[in-house]
Amino acid sequence: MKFSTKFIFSIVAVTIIAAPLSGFVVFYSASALLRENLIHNQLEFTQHTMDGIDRILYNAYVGIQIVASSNTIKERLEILNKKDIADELAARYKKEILMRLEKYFSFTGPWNLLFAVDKDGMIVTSDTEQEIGTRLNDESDNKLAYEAAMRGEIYYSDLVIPKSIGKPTIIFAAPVRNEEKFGRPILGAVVGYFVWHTVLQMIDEADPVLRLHLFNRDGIIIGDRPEHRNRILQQRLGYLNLVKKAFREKPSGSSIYTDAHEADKTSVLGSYVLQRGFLGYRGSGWGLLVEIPLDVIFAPVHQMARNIAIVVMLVMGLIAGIFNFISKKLTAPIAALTKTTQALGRGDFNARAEVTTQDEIGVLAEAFNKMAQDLQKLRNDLVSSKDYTENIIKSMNESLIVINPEGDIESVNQAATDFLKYSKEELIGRPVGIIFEEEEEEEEEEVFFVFKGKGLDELIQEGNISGAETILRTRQGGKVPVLLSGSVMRDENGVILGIVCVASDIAELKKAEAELKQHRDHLEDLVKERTTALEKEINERKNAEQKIKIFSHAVTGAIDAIAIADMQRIITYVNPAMEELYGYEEGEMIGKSTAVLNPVSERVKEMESAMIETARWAGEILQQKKSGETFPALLSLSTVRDEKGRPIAMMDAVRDNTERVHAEKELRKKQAQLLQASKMASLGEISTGIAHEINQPLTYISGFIQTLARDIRENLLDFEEVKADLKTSLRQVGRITDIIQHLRTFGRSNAKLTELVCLKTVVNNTLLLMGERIRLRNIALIRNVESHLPAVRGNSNQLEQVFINLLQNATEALRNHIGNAELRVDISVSEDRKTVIITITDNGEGIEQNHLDKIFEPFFTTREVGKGTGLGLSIVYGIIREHRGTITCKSEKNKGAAFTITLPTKG
Amino acid sequence: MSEHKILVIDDEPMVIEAVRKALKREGYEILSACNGEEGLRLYFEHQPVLVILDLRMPVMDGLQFLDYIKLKPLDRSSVIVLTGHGSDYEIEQCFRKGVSAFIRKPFNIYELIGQVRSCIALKDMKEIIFDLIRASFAEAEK
Repeated sequence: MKFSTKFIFSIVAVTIIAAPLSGFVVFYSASALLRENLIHNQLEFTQHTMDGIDRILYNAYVGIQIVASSNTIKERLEILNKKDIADELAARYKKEILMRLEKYFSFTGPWNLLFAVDKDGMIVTSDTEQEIGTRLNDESDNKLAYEAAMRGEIYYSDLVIPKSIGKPTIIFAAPVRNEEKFGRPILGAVVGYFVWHTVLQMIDEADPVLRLHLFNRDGIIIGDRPEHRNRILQQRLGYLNLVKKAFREKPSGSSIYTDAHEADKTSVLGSYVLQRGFLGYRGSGWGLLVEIPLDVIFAPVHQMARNIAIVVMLVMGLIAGIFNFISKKLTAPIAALTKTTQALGRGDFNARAEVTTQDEIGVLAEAFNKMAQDLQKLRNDLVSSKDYTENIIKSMNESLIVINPEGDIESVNQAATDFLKYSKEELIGRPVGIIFEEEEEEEEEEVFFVFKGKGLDELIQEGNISGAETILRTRQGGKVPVLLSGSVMRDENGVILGIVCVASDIAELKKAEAELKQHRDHLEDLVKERTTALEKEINERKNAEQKIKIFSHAVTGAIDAIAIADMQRIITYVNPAMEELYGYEEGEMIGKSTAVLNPVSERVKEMESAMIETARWAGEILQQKKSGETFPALLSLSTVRDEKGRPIAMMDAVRDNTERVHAEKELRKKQAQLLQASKMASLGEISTGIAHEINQPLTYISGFIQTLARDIRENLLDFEEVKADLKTSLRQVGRITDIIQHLRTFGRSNAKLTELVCLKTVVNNTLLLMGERIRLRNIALIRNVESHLPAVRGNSNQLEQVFINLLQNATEALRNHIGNAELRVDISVSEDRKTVIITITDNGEGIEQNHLDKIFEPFFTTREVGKGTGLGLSIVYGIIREHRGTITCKSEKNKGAAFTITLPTKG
Repeated sequence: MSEHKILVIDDEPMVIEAVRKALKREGYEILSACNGEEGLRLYFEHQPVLVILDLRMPVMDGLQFLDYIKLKPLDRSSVIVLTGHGSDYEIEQCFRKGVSAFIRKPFNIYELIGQVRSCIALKDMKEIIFDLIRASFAEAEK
């Protein structure tokens, strides 16, 4: 039997015994409790029903007393007892008593019959007419009641069937007393027949499965379920003795017995209680027996038994399942180990036991695996040492050929078959002759003696050869040159086993020899070429000398004045233009110092220091003629060096600059005029904005004055109001004055560049003229002016023109912008505080890339003819340059433009 | 007659102040806005009997405002334009859009008061005639 089977078997055995046992114990203890509880409930129900009956009867007991205490009945009964009253009056009194009884009839009882009896035992009045006047004595039940009442007792009978109504009832009677007289004399009684059906109804309403029996002290049934109504007052309870036996001991109890009374003879649980009465009503010693079939009352117990059985089954199943799982887990490693051992036995050395558990089986498996691994390694080593040798032979680049003593090929390697283009099968077993060149007889003696079949003897004597050059034949018959080495293999007795030959391909070597020869030929050609080149060079030198001659003529005939001086500044050469410019005779300047040409000594010093530093100088400088007259000139000085780089002379090139200086002066004058014109143009363009700006305060002032005039005329002047309004008006006048004042200074032509200008003021003034225009175009203006901005030296009027032109352009660029139009003015100072940087940025339509380098040119405009002068930016450029600043522009189409201006600070 | 509401739309607070002063004796309730957009909100909220409107304003100018409200002769409101400039083109456009009067800044207060009164009187008259017509219709139905 397998280990796992044994394990499962023992576990299942234990489960099958233990689970039902525990289930039974649980059921036994629980069912006892449950039964007790059910019996107790049954008894409680019986008690409760009996109490209900007592309460109903107590109500009637109290009710009859209430009727008896009625004042009307007392008074009328007292009079009627006297007998001597007139019939008419008696009839009226009886009627009154009847009315009273009828009133009580409805809310006491309930009664089948209610009547009053006088002290002689005559029925005085009744709610049933025919009884009136009859005596009570006739009926024993009534008589008992009457007599008890006359004794002053409150009477109630057992269940009886009086003849007058013919159905079961309880007779209640109470005395009617005169409470006012001494001794409370009894005047008569009231008698009521209780409706027994009220009690029966209570029995009817109980659960139909229950059997209820109400019986009196003699054991006669007085109440039962509707189907057994005929038993009332007719039958005794069959097993009363059994019940009574229990009664003797206690007033209530339960027991289980077979109900012989009923037809089905089922086992029932019977609970019984004795009547205890309620308050004044003491009861008549009745008993109530409630029976219930056992199978009904103990249904919950059976249900519980079933539930427990199901749970036990489930638990057993679960336990069996769990242990099955555990046992598999436990035995699986053992099974795996067994399987591996069998595999190893069959020779599968790769087999390993896959056991990962940490227990003893795991350790065992690990040791086993180690053993299997050692076995495998041992076997692999054996196999691989053979493979190793084979691999060496296979991977040789040289061809290996083994020949047996008979002269046949015994074995070849891969290289040999590849080299000779044979397959292995085609070579093995064939005579060596098929691969060795046959012509060896004439050509090479060494080869002949080695491979001419019988020549093997010599090789055997020599033992080996090495590096012999020979030729092998391929399958296609091609001849290939090889280097051949060979060795004879012998056994220990010196008997030849075979010959091993190795052949290496020397085709490449042969090819290289041929190439070397070709190269030698080429060298000879090169020598020839070189000789031709030398001849050519000589010709070129001749040409160069010719060129120098031309240069010399060029200098002599140049328009620019050229002088060459030695390092001590003594002139060694001048061209004719030089002599002419400075007014010297021919040759007169040679030997003079260059100092005579430079009247301003400071500039000479500057020049000299530059020459020391950079060996050259160029610039504008005042020069002196022989006559002493000076003139502006453009001078360039350079150092002439010999081929080793040493300075040997200095060369001056001079050009008369008088004409250009004059032209520049003229230009500056024109520019100033242009600026003025542009200013006027700007004023024209921005005048609408300015007019609007002035008009607003003016509207207020004019309105104020007219209102004031009216108020004065109508005598309705409010001085406080006027005072406040006057202040406002004055502020408005201030606004207008500011603008006008500014327009005046702006319009002035002012060329001075020496005032200290605060750029913040310039921006503010610009916006005084332009602000309204920007605002009305829905352009957000962002001003970011650094505080403590250093002043710049220049002309505020001109700088303002710069701002106006740039802002105007930006506003124009934002003309078609939809939403978020933005214009920024940023002014900051550089870190060394030597430069102020102004940036004016807009996010408008931008400038085309190919226009960017033209925007500062005069008359360049992209606007329609007549809309712009094309001078705005060129004027800006001119002004900034005059202020020794720079202006640059960056722009991208449809993204906006940014103009950056730098201006030196006053320092 | 209930208190008439007048809406003044101008970007310059001083102008609104001047109009307020000029009309202070007339017993109107003056509402004010500093651009067309704000004006539009107040216009629909309060339904003034008269709007005094500037033309050049940021955000939304006077002509745009007129395009939005689309004045019709039987409207409850009328508009007086009060502006500092105003080309021929602008004047023409204003009247084409149903404006009742065109006054230039700086204005004459008597001219402004007169135009305001006549505009309002016209609208009041319109209301009275409408009431009469309604009453006669009601009678005819009976």
